[in-house]
Amino acid sequence: MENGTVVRKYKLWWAWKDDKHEQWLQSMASQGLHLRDTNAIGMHSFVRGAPADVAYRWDMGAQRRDPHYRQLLQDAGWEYVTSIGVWHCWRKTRRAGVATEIYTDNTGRIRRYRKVLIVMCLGVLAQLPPILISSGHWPELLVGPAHLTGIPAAMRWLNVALLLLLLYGVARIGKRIRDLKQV
Amino acid sequence: MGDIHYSKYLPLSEATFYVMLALNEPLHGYAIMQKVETMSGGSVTLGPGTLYGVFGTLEKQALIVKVAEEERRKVYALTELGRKVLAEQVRRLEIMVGNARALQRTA
Repeated sequence: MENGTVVRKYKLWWAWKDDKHEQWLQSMASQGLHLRDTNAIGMHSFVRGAPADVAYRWDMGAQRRDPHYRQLLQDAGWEYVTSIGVWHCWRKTRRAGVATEIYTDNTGRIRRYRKVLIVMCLGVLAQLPPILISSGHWPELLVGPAHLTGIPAAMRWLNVALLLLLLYGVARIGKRIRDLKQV
Repeated sequence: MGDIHYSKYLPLSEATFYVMLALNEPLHGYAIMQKVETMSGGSVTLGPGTLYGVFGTLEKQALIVKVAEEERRKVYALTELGRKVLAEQVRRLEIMVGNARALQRTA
């Protein structure tokens, strides 16, 4: 295949497994597939080029729009790739003796995961009103409201599924933070 | 200024200690990263995310202050309080090292 060709790949990843996703992007780069952009539902587009040893890191927070922070990352050899909401992807060529971590201390890593936790907790709160409003009285919270059918019922179950996924995410990120605190 | 409550600031983490040490002259972020790596013989590297977090904390505690800006690069310097806190940290570290050496000699 020619260089410059865009290759699309689908891969879903979770915020609590960001390091696995970073390794995957690195292994794609070693095959000559360099990330161009991606989205929240896991579609990735890569540009084909020469194989390279490149580290990818997901940074979190609104500070990407802070020009001083961007400048510092660029000075340190990082290239901005793309964003998914408040997640920002940066990459840097790996060489012997060159640091390829954005966060080099646990305080920084914990602070980053705390930001992820806050976003997830906001997500949990956002799911609650539609579930509570559609539930009538409390037993329906668990079994689902009898009066809802068709699309409204499906929407409600989607809210419940999202709520459970986010709660699971909160637990997983919480565990990562606790693990980092023990080091 | 009244008495300084050093326990509010100490002990400094390794990253924070080296950032403050590097700021015995005004520097911007990337220059600090390079200086710390050279000073520590490569044993301490500061990632930009970590360094930015340290800046935020130290600025809030008034231990460092922005003194200039050069092309989107903030230049920081230690404040008077910052110098005192760093000196106190060094004094405490010297005591620790002294104690360890004394014990090693008797062992």
